[in-house]
Amino acid sequence: MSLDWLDAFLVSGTFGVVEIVGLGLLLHLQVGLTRIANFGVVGFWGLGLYTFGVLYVQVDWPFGEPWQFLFSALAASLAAALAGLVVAWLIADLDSDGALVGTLGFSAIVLILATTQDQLTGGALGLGGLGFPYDLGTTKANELLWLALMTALVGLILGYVWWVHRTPYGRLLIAIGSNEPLARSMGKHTTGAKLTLFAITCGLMGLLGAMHGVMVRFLDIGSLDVGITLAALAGLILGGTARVWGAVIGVLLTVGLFDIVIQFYVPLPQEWFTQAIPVLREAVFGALLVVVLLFRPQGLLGQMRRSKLIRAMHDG
Amino acid sequence: MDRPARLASTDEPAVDRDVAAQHVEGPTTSGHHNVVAESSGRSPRRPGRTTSILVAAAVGLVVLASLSDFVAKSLVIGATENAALVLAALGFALLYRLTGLLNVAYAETITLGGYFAVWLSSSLGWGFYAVVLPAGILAGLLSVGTYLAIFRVAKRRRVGDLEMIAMSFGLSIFLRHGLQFIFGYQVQFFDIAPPDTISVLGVGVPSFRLLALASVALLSILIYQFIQRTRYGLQIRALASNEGLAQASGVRPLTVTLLIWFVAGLAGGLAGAFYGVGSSVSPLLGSRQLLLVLLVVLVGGIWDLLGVVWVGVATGIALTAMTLQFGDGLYSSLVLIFAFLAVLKVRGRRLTAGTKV
Amino acid sequence: MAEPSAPPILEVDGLHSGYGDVPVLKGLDFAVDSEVFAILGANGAGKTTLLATLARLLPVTDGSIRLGGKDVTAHPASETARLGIGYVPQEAAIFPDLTVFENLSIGGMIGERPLEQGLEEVFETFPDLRDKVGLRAGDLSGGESRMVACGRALMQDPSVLLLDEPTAGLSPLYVELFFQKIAEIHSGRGVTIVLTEQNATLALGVADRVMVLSLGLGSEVMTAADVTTDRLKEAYKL
Ligand SMILES: Nc1ncnc2c1ncn2[C@@H]1O[C@H](COP(=O)(O)OP(=O)(O)OP(=O)(O)O)[C@@H](O)[C@H]1O
Ligand SMILES: [Mg+2]
Repeated sequence: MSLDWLDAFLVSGTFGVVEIVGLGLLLHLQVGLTRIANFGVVGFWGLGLYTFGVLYVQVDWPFGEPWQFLFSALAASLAAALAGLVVAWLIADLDSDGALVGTLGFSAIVLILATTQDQLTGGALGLGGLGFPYDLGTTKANELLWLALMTALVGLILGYVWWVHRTPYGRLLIAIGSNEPLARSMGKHTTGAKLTLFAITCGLMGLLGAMHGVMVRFLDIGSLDVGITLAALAGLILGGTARVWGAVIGVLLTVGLFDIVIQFYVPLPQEWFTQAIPVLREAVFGALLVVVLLFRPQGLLGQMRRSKLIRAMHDG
Repeated sequence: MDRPARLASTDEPAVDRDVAAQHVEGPTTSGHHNVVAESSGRSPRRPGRTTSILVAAAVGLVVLASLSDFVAKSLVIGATENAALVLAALGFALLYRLTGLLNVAYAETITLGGYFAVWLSSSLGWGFYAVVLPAGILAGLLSVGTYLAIFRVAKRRRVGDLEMIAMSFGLSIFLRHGLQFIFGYQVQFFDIAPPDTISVLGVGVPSFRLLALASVALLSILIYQFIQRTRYGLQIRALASNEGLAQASGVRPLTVTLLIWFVAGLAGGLAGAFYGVGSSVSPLLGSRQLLLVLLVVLVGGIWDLLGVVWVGVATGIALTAMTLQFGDGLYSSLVLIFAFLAVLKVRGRRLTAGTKV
Repeated sequence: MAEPSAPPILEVDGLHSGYGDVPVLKGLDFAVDSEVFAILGANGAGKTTLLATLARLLPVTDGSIRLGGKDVTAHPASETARLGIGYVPQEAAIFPDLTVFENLSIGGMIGERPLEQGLEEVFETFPDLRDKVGLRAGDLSGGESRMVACGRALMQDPSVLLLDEPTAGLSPLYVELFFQKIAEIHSGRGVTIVLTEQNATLALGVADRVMVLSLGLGSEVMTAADVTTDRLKEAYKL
C-alpha cells in the first residue's frame, strides 16, 4: 500500500490533536466534575513520557517487542498514577490556591528531575533510541498505525469518561465538585474518591505520555514546558468543562485549528512556522482562556444539566 | 454563592466587594486574613521581644559567619542574589491577602518590570538606578490596567475561584508570549559597567548587588510601613477585613483597590528590574520565579506579611547554601519545593464548610 | 422662594429591595425627622435588609431614598456615608483584624472634624473604650465590640445613625446602659436615630415613633406614647 498521498506532518499533527483530546478528557474529570485545579498536567504526562523513555532505552530487557513497550508503558502509567495519588493526598484538603501550587510544584519537580538526571534522561541534550513496538516497513506506515492505536486509546478514555458520568462514583465526584463539605457531611468518603480519581486519571495521562514518546522517538525537556497543560486546559474550557464532549470539541477548535488547519491549509511564509506561529498559538490560547472564562465560563457546550447536578447531590 | 453578609449594591462598588467579602467571610482565609493587621504598630504584640529575638539571631549568624566560610558565603550571597525574591513575594502577598486573588499573571508584571527598565535605560541612556523607579511605576500601571480590563470585569460577572486562577493563568501566558512579539525573542542585558566588588564578611560581592539589597530592603520597609502606618494603608486593610463595612464607613472601594493593584505591581516591577540587572531579561524571567514566589507567599502567609519577608529571606539563604553544597541550583530548588509542599500539607489552608459553594 | 417646611431628614418612598432575585422589601414608605425611630418586626421580617438598603449596601430595585431632600438612591455606600449616614450592622459590625484605635480612625477619615476631637467625643460616650484602643477589635467582648461599632459610626459625625439590633446578645444590664447611650447621642448631639429591635417594650422605652415591619411591608408609623398591645398585635399581623 502506498502512502505517498499522505503528508507525514499531517499524521503527527493529528496525533498531537488526539493526544490533547485525551488529556482534555481526563482533565475534564478533575476540573470539570470534581473541580480540582490541576495546573500540572504536563507533570503527569511528562513523568509518563520520561519513565517510559528511560526504561525503554536504558534497561536491558530480556525480551523483545511488544513486551518491551508494554512493560515500559505499564511502569510509566503506574509511576504517573502513584504521583497522582501523592499529589492528590497533598492537596486533598487545600483549596484551589493550594491545588495550583501543589500541581505546579509537581510539574516543576518533574522538569528538574528530567534535567538533572541527565545520565538517565539525556538532560538538556535529550535522549534518542525510542521506537515503535512493530515494524510495517516504512516510518509513515508505522506512524499511521500508531495514530490509529492512539485514537483507539483516546476513544476508550472517552468511553470511560462517558461511563463515569453514569455511575454513582461519577455522581460522587460531581457532588464533591459542587459542595465537598456537604458531600462529606452526608457520610461520603470524599478524600478517597479524590485519591482514586487522581490515581486513575493521572495514570492515564502518564500512558498518553508514553504513547507520545513512541511517536516522537526522542525525549526533549522542551516538551515539559506549560504548552501541554495550556493546550488541554484551553481546549477543555472552550468546549465546556462540565460536559463529556467539551474537551473533544474544544481541542479540535483550538489545537486542531492551529496545528492542522493553519499549518497545512493556510498559505503562510515558511519562516513564520518556526517562531511566530508557535508564539502566536500560545498567546491565542492564553487570551482564549481569559475571554471564554469572562464571557462564557461554561464553554461552548454549556453547563451540566441541572437535573444531573441535583441527582448527584442527592444520591452521589 | 450567596452568603448572608454579602451585600450587593449599586453600580460602582459591586465588583470589589465580593473579592474582599469572600476573602473575609470564607473560612478558607480565616486563619490568614488577619495577617496584615496583626503586627500593627498599636497592637499589643510585644514588638520589643520580637525585635530582640531577631537581633539576637542576626548577631548569632554574624558570629557563625565569621567562624565559617560556608555560612558567610551562604548569608552574603543568599541575601544579595535573592533580594528581589523578597520584594516580589511582598507584592504578590499584598494582592493575595487583600483581594483574595492568586494572580498567576503577576509573573509577567515582574518580567515587564525588567523589560521596562532595559527599554528605558537603552532608549534614554540613563543608568540602572535612574530607571528602576520609572520601570516599577510602569509595571504598577500595567497591573492596574489588568485589574480594570480583566479582573474587575470578572468579579462583576461573579467568576468562580478556580476559573479566576485559570483566567490569570491564561493572562500570564498571553502576556508572556505577547511580550515576545513586542520585545523580540532574544535575551536582553543591561548595559552596565563591570562591577567592582566589595568584601562583606570576607565574601566578595559586586557593588551593584549590595546596592540592590539595600534598595530592596528599603523598598520592602517602605511598602510595609505604607500598609501599616498610613491612612491609605489603613483603608486598604479595612477594605480587606470587611468590605461592606469599609464602604459604609466612607472608604471608596475603587480608589483603594486600584491602589492595592498599583503597589503590588510596583513591587513586582521593581523586583523584575533587580532580577534583570542581576542576570538578564527574557520573557520567562517572571514565570521562572513564580513558583518560588507562590511558595514563599503561601508558607510565609501562614504567619503574616512580615512572615512573607522572613520566609523570603530564609529561602534566599537556603537556596544559596544548598547550591554551594550540591554545586547545582536545581537540586536546591527541588529540596525547597519539597520542603514547602510539606509545610503546606501540615499547616495548609484547610478546606472547611462553605468554602466551595 | 420660602419653603413652608424643610424636607424630612430621611424619606423613603415605595422602597423595593432584596438579594439577587429574592425580593424582601416590597414597597415601604416612611419619613424620619429628628427623632429616635424604631423598626420592629419578627425574625426575617426584613429589618436588616431595610437598614442595609438605607446604608446603600443593597441595590434598590424600585422606589427612592432621600436624605435631607437629596435623592441618594443611586449613591454607593461610600458616598452616603459622606452625606451623613452612619451604619452599625447587626453582624460583622467591626473590623476584627484592626485595633480599636484603627476601627475608630476609619470612621474619622471623612469630614473635617479633627480625629482627636472625634475620639474625645466617643470616649465621653463610651469611657470603657479609652484604655482598649491598642487591642485587636476581634479580641473584645460582645458588649465592647458593640461600643466600638457605634463609636466607629459616631466618628463619622453622622446626621443619621442606623443601628441594627444594637443590643442583641448583650446582658440585660448592658442593654439598659446602651439604650441610655442611644438616647444621649440623640439628645446631646442631635443625631437622628433609626434602630431595629426585636423587643417591643425596650424599643418603646427609647423611641419617639415606631413602625412594624412584616413580610416586607411596613405598618403605619405610630407615636410611641399611643402604642397599645392591640395596635401592636394588629401591626405584627398576629
Ligand atoms: N444574603 C441573603 N440572601 C438571600 N436572602 C436573604 C439574605 N439575607 C437575608 N435574606 C432573607 O431576607 C429576609 C429578611 O432578612 P433580614 O435579615 O432582613 O431579617 P431581619 O428582620 O433582620 O431578621 P432578624 O430579626 O432575624 O435579624 C429573610 O427571609 C432572609 O431569609
Ligand atoms: Mg436582622
